[in-house]
Amino acid sequence: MVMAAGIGTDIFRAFLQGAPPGGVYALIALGFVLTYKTSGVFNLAFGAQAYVSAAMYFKCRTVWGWPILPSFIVSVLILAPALGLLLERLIFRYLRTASAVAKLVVTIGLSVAIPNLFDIILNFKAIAGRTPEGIVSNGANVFYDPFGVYQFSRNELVTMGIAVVATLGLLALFRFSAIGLQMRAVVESPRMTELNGVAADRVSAFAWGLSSLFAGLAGVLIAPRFNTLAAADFFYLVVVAIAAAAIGRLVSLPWALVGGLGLGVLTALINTFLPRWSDSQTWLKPLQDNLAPAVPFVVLFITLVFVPSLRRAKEQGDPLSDVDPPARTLGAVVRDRRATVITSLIGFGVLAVIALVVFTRADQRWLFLITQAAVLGTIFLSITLITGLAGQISLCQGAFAAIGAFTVFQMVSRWGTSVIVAALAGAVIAAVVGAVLSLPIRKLGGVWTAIATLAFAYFFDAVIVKLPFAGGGQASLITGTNVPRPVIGPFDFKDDRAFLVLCVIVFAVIGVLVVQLRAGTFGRMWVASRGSEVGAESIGISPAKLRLVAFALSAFVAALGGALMAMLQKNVNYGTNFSPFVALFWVVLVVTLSSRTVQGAAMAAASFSLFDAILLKGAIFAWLFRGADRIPGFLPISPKWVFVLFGLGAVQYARHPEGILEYSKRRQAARALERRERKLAKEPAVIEAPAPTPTEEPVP
Amino acid sequence: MSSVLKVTEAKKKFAGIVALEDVSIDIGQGERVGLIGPNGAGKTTFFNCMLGVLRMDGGTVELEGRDVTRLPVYERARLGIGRTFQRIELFPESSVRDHLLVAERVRRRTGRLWKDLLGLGRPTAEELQRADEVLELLGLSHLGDQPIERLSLGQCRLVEVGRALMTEPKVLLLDEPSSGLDRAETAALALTLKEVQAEQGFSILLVDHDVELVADFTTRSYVLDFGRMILEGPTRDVLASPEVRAAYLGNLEPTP
Amino acid sequence: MSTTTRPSFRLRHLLALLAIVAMVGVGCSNSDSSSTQSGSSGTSASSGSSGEKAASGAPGVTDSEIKYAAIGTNSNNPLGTCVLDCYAQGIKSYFDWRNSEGGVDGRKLVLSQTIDDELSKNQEKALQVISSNDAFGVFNATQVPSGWADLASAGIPTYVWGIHMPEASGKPQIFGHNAPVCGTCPSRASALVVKQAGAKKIGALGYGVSQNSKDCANSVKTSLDKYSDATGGAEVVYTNDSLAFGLTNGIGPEVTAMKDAGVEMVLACIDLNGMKTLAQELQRQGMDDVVLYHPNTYNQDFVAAAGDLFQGDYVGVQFRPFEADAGDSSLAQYKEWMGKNGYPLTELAMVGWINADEAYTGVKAAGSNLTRQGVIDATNQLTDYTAGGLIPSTDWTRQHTIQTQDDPATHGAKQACTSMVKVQDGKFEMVGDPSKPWYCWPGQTFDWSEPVPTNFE
Repeated sequence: MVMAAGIGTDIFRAFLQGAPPGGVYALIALGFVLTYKTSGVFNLAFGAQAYVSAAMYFKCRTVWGWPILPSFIVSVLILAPALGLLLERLIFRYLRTASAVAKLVVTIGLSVAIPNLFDIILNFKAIAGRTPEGIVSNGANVFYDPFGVYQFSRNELVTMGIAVVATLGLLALFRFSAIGLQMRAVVESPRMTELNGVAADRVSAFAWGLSSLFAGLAGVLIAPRFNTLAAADFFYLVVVAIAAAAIGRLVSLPWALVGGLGLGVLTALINTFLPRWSDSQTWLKPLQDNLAPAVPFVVLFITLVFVPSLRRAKEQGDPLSDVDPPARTLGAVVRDRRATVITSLIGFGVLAVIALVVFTRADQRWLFLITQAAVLGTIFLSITLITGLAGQISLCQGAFAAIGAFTVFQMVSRWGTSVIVAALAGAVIAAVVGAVLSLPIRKLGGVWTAIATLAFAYFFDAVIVKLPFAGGGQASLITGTNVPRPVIGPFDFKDDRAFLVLCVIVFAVIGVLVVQLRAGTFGRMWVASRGSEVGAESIGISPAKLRLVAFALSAFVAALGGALMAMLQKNVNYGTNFSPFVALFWVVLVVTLSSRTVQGAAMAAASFSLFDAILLKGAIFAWLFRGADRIPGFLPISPKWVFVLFGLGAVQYARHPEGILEYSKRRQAARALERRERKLAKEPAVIEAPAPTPTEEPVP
Repeated sequence: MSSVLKVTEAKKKFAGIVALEDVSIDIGQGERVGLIGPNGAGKTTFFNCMLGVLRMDGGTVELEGRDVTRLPVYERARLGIGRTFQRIELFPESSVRDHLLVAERVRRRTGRLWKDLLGLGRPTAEELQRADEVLELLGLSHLGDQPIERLSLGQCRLVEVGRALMTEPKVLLLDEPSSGLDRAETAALALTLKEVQAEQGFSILLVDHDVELVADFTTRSYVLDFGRMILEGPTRDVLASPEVRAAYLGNLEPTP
Repeated sequence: MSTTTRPSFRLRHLLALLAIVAMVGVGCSNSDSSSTQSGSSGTSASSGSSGEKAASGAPGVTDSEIKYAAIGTNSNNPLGTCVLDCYAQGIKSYFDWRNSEGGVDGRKLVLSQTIDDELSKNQEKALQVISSNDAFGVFNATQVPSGWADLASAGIPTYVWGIHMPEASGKPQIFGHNAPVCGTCPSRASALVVKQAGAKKIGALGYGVSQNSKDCANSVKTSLDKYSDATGGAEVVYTNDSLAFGLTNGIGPEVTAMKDAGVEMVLACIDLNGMKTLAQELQRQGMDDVVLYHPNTYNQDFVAAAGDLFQGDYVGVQFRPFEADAGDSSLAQYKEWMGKNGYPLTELAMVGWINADEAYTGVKAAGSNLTRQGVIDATNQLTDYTAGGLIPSTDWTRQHTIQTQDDPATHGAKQACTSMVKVQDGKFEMVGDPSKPWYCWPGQTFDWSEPVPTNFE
């Protein structure tokens, strides 16, 4: 009996210990569900909004020394809703008819841009060890022990209390108030709501203001848990919170609360009992090592795979959805043969000039940057494959690339395998991983596929990376994750120029293969499936098989690129090269420029690698004006601007999913077509119905 | 007459509500059969069960004697069940010819990843020829290179038919093909379909609200109401029957 | 509608034009000797057509100056600590001191470039410095040392914040503020600090995601097992080497387990933010008396801002603590010259100072052979280097390679030493004799003996 009482107390204590972090997860999950219910947007930038308020509060309270109330008013009651209203007014109002996936990509871009923009504007820098304060005085130092088992600080009680109150309050809002009903109605059918005399735009603005206010509140409540304030931590929390929100199918507030608390409690339970058990049952040790940090991502993945109503969420069924012109789909492009040839020749010409200059004149640093661009180009081609061709958003390309890099490291350091062979082996392993990953998620819609890949990316980051057969183990400890340059026959690629040639060749070959693929069976099947999955099924195309092939190929290419990256840097450098956050930014870059074409991948890679050095650091000015001292004084611009510019660029994705480059190409092609048809129309012999000119949406 | 598509005692429930109860149909070689019924009768559900979009709670679906009840949608499509959609499900980024070509490639099962990578995946001359034949058949030859967004609804329907035809279906299921078309367009569509069917010899199941179309196009019809098959027989007789009128219009006697 | 045709046409062609200009610029930039990175004061006139070789022929050396570059982490630092800025302050102060004495052979030491590696661009910036070829030596204080291998293979004397063992090990060109040490070897310092605290039941913690941290935690156990006699039977009663980085879910269950095991002292191989979380949780669960040993928290501001959380804790210091007596060491000059510039006394500034001393000492020892290799070779002949009494005696002829558990002698220091301070009322206090701030053991064995308070000069 004493034993049982002991275990009982332990379980109870674990519950209590899991409650404060659980309250944090619940708060974000609630905010997430709130945003989804009231705006229909899967807001991955929720964490960024929370961070902004938290950082503002820190600045007011800790740096400037203001009292609690004014700090709270400014950061939560003023800044947070203002940010939300701005987002709604400038961006989301025009995205109502965009697909859920497109809106997701926009929020990814915002999650990268917003924190960096804030840091730039307020010149905000985290201070180590200056723990952010909470919203109650002395919140971190006063403790209460309601059950005599575990103490809670004031901050924690306030957080948990607000989570519960907010759940009840929001439930009441949705159930009993007019505005609550209106917000939900606007999400389902804006036109219908307007027919009922409700201004959909105003309701939508209110909705964004409300959910952003909640984000700000959450941020300020959560911040005291971090001893140093950093935006990346908030994004991490969002991923965890999605697991909680998913348990409630994204629409249930009480389930979000329960899910969040549950995650915290589950982790605490695991951390309490698993170490005990693994002392006596050593086979549990690997589980303890690896499961505890990955609990949220495993829960998320399992939820996605096994909760049936998340699969293939049916279209909302807005009865008046046909009233608005449909979201502009891309028509088939009819390109003028001659124009294509001319532009291709110009393109190759430019490349040839660049190549000549680079090979004769570039120094080590520029060689490094340009090779990096070539390698990234290969990695980005994997995004072209999975997103541009197969139409899926994959946020785990970093993990696939890392598989390639780690395989090279392991095979070379353990068995002395040839570097190239190891790279190919890594690519094959990644392809298998990608294929296996695609199976359980094959029935998920676009957004949830993206989230599943995000869960995998974080799982990989938390668990796989440190395993001895990946990035851990004694070898990495003693000499680091070193990777040598390859040797192929007489060619030793220690020479940077030779290696650049190799990387460019790989990029070119993969690029050609991608183009071939696009025109071949699979490319056309992907186009079909992207256009209409049911239509594709009706002619015998298996969507699951298409996905599997897409993931496998994409992973293969990413791993190859990852291996090359490791060779370039002579080290895997997982943290700076392949972390989930970096991979997120890759996707933002590629889809903004163009995920459909090889050229888009190349431009994105060049931007990532060279934009900062050439433009932000002012190298271009140094070249143009022949002197380092001629660089204008306002440079170097903070490198954060890269994230801001491209993050905001992703906002364009919803209106132009083909990317900026492709969009401009199509405009040109359409204009050429127009010109030709006008010419033909002048000839009396040919009777054609006047071709409708492609309509342009008015720029907001 | 041998059976091409046979559904035996299909059952489907949605959370306790019975959508289909022991519904059976049998379509023979070269027949044109109609399926009618008021809104909410379960036509769409039944349609989706035949195609494999929904899994039935009971009953079987047989295609030319082969049990396809457990097969997924795309497998049934490969075996010979083709369909068109009430709301057009074409591929917005493809031209008219592209639709036919990809269907043809899938039918031939000659598509291979390695072939694609080597540049051998492009449409072959044979495929192009066959596609052009079908376009000709449907009167769409002049629209072959057009992107879908420039086509009228009637033309889009024809493209869907063409796409389905490329798979050499044994039975073609038409889901409200007259939806959105005016009388002239409907008549033109019906004519074209009759001609194509005469040439190719497949069976057709037509689900539609347009009574004239059903009367003109089909020889035999089934009537579905509240999840049950209430009548079956030659179309003229079925349409004139009092049960059908009651199902559509209710039981009230017309006021004198 | 057609009026909108113009801009996108121009945009693409503008981009193409820009690309061409850029690439032509790249080509032409290398025939021009002025560097393309953020220059600052001290760019002297070039006399040659490539690089700035002058009298001695070495890059970065002129008749009047020897130029150095410093690369370090400023932006994106996840720990929020002052790295590059404070590091550069230490270097500058040291240079000011030596320059006030006339420099070396009439040449002044100049820190001509301070480059932020933005956490992820260490390799790129290293290559930038290598390519521009106008720095004689490079200082490097970073969280991600991806550029060290390139600097070493370019033969550049590289002075580093020596916290990354694998990248520094075995490279004669890289001089850390401490010689690289063996993280998995038995540590008498752990036993000493346990003995100092008088604790018998110890907890060891490490992050699962870092092999380094894991091994550190496990080596605490092996060390205390090995030296249990010396500590009067202290043993590790709780080990957890799989903590989640960032401790997002808190550390409640782990602390409860330590409480149940009766832990009196915790040796944690985690970063300073994690230490604070740990201390907060210990306080919450009524374990205020538990003493912590911090390997990475010699940060005055951090400790001062933590109130009484760290009261009574021990902090390891990798050099002569500021709280020790200066004696004959350069600690006095450090304080003086940092004070002249108004710089706060920080850990990274001291690291910079020590690195700067390594650079100076090397140049001085090289004498007339003022080339990069000459300086490296000269530094590597030093067998008793102490940075002016600031670090334990280091033998650079042997200590570039890390000693191993099986062979402590070949690469072990003559004396293995540790220095620590204790936190009292938010301030650090020297542990032991302030005039002999190190506890030292024979460095070429792992056997226990009584540590000897030692002073280095």
